Amino acid sequence: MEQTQTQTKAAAPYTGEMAIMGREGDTKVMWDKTKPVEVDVARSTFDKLKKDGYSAYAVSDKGDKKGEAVRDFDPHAERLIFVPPMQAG
Amino acid sequence: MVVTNMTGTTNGSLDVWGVWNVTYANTAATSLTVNGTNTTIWTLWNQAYTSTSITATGGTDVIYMTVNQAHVWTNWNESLTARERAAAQQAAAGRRPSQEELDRWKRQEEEQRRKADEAAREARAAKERAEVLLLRHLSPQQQEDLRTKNCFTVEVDGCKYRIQRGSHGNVHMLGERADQIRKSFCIQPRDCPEGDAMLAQKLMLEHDAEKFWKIANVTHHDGKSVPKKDNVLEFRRLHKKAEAAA
Repeated sequence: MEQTQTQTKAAAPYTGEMAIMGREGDTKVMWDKTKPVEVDVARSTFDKLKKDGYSAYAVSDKGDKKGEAVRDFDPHAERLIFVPPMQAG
Repeated sequence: MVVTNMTGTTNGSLDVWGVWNVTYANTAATSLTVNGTNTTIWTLWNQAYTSTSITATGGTDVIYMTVNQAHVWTNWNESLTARERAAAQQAAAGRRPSQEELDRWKRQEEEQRRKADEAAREARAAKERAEVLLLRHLSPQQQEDLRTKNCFTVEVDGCKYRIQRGSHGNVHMLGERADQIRKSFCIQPRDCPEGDAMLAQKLMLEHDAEKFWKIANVTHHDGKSVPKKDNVLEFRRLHKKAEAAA
């Protein structure tokens, strides 16, 4: 997948995070909801992944809540996991 | 890539693997079906690659192997070196290799080994990343179960599903007793490490179990397949029954 300019910046503050599953493990895309440029990049990443058939889930730590399936990008989201299309083995 | 109708004697491996190595030495297959009568080689194969997402099962007539990590083939090919491949080809053509060829093959061998080592390192790193992501999204009980039993349970509409460590055929719907398997499912995201596959299975079961059933290959507890067209009907029947019981 094409990487975006918002990809992991070790010490940068951010409010949202996407974990995109892939062959190398997950790739992180992070953004700060107060920065329109970062939000735009995150939104376009979200849209591209959805177009490619990925499923998005809003999740929380520790799996104590089931979270929810997400259809549209929300800049206020804190954590999303993107799962590639599922297939029968 | 799917390779089918590869025939030969698997006992001793010469025919099947000779064809495989000469023809597919530099490819990454996703699925391979071998017609054979001896499962020994598959046992060895599985033992060698237990840490990767690969499984092979054998019967008396047909053996199925599914691979979802291209680097498995890199490792496999590394073990059959360039020198061996070329020497076999030259022997077949009836001439001895020159010193120049031997030197070139040695260099190729070293390069292959280096690439295989790199692929193995990347695979380990991917596996570790996936494990971290998985653990981060399991409840404390699920984490404990994964650590002690190599599996964790997900409950949907009163139905319990057990996700075992693995990526293929590792999801089971449980009966009234925890050791009773009602159905087994083979469904996974493409090209993902084990931890990611397990998390994807958990998320999909929790959010869209019907779609999970619809996509998966489902088998009964006795190993017989559920016809694909019946998957959703069976899902609705069992989940309705569980909801009513609850």
